[in-house]
Amino acid sequence: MSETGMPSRRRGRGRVSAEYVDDEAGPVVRLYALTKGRTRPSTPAFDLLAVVVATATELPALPDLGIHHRRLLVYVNTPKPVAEIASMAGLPIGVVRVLLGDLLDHGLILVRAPSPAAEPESDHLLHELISGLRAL
Amino acid sequence: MASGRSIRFKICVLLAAPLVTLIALWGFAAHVTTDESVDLLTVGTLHDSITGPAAALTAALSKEHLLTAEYLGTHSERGRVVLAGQRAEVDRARTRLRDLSAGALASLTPAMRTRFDDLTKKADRLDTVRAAADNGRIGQVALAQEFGQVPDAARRLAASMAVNGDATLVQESRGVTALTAAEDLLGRERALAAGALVANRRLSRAELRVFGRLAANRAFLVEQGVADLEPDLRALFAPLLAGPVQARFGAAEERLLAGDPRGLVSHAEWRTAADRAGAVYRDGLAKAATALTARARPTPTGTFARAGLAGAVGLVGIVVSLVVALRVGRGLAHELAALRAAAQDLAGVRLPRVVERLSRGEAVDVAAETPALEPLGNTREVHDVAIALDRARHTAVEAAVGQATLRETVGQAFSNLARRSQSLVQRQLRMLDDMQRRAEDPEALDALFRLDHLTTRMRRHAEGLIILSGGSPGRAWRRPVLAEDTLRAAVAEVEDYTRVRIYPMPGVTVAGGAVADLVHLFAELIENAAVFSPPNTEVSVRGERAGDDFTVQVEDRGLGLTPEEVAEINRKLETRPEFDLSDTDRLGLVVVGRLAAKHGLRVEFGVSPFGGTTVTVVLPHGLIEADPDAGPEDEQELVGAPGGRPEEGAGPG
Repeated sequence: MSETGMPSRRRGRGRVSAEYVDDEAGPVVRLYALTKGRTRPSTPAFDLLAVVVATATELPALPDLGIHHRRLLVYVNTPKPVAEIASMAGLPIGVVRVLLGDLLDHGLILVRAPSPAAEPESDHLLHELISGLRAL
Repeated sequence: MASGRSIRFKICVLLAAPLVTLIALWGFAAHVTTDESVDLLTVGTLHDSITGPAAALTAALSKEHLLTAEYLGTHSERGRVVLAGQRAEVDRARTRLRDLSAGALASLTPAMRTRFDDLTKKADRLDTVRAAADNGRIGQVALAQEFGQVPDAARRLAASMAVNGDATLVQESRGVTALTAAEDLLGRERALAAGALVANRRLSRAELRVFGRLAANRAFLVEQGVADLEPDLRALFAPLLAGPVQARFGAAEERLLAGDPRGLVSHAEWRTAADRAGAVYRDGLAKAATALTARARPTPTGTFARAGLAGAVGLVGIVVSLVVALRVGRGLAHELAALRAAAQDLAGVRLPRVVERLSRGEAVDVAAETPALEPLGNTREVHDVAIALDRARHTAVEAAVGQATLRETVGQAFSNLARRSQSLVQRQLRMLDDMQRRAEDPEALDALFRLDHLTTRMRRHAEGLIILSGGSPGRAWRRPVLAEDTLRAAVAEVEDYTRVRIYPMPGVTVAGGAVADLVHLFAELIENAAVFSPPNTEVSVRGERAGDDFTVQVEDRGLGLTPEEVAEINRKLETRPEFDLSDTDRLGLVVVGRLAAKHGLRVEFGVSPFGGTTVTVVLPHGLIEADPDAGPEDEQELVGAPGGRPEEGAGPG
């Protein structure tokens, strides 16, 4: 019975009077609409740790590039890894990869594979971990 | 009569026939009465102008008869001279009669005219008689006969003119006529006897026979005439019945008739007796005529007055009936015209207005909108019709109210069901959001996207039903939302959404409260464009500022609409289409019309230059809340919205 029950009508939240407000109303644009249903990026280069940086400041006026592409372009003003971009945009990683693929296709960004400089740090970390375990 | 005639015309026709008849009858009666009076007056005139000269001729002729008879007896020179003088007098009288004014003759009736002509003809014969007398080729008897013809004709003419209706007067004038004839007979008697006596001879057998007949006739006429008179007039003729004059004349007459045993009556004696008797006649008749004329005069004037009075009363009656008829007729026509006006107003203006407002769901004060017809007129039937109309009005309004209530109830039921479905779909979409966020595998995400698309369309249909039932989708955002996001959301609700391309547009935002409605409206328009265009073509959505307003164009590459269809659709959109359950093909159009009316949007279909259809939607200034500079807004978003929940759809704050 609770399934068919009406949501309680909420009033007094600002000037809006409706059953579903803001979060409850859900996102204005569904995710599939951002990518036109695409789930695979044009390139497999967008590893979680891959760093993306913008090569242009302005988004060209092209029909295939919308407001969300522009937002991502703003985020990568400074080089950022893909995982951080997704977190900032509040979008699933799969969707972000598709959108970044669009930007890459138009030559608006550069992608760098995960930094090799990080590897020694991880070796050191692993050694520390091993020695710590041995000490137990 | 043709059914197209007005009641005013029919009433006029109804009244005209009796009124015309009445007027005709009155005219006829007035004519007859007046004519009769005119007749009487004419007769009076005739009596004066014709009978007078005729009587003068008769009197002169009587004397000529006497003188002629005496001349025949004596053949004296003196007698001839006297006779010639008398003949001249007769001729004058005859000429006067013949020269009667044409006016007097014209007013004679044909019968009178015949008798008048007869009289003049007889008078003309006189010349032959005179010639015979001068030659001595005529006897006393023949002479008496010839001279009797003019008086007889004159009397017949006089009799034809006596038409007075008064019984007493008729009787008296009959008496006078008889006495006039008696006087004439006396004259003939006198002349006949005088003609013999002057020659100092007895009356011959033939003369005696004529004399006797004349005497007897005269006596009879006197008796009859006097009996017909009223006592006052009768006294005038008393000497003719008794007294010295009658005794003397009677004795002379007796002696002549008896063959004269005591010797011959002298000529002088006869003349004296006869002249005296004649004088009595003359005086009596003159007085009687005067008296009778005086008595008859008032009659024609009285008749005339009566005729005038009757005519006037009749005229007044006709005027009164005319006025009454016109007033009643006009009153009736006015009442009916007022009734017709009231009925037409009710049927053509008031009832449709009330029904229309009820069907729009407006609250209508039924009593105030269709006030009872004022009690119309004082004719019972008209009044009854007005009451019947009033009842019909009441019933019609009740039916309309009932229908509106039913519609509202049905709408509420639909709305209720749709909201339940919407509630479930909303929950499902939230679950899908979570699942999509966790999905790493593109395959899984793809499946979730498909599911999401289906669910979003389910929500759209549920919301469409709510809008049709008069409700609102019930989703709202407190912050303005970018127009581009709104349009993208609309595209997402369309089945074939991948064909739709949104072109770059200015960063305009729309009021958060209207977003759900706008998404729904554009979804209908874009869906329409996608359905009516080939699958491989693009449906383009463009937005641009137009002054203070914002214009969105949805264009397809389909077959397009004919100008008539375009005009028809635009007309429907303008008049705010009603939810007609029988026309399910047009439901999308109804939704668009309602939402456009709700937010003051102008939606116009047109023919695209590329052959398809272009729909232009103008968002009014009031709906566009801000014109944010995209850059800084996005920075704010960047800082303010990295919360736990995804906010990708929310516009900049």
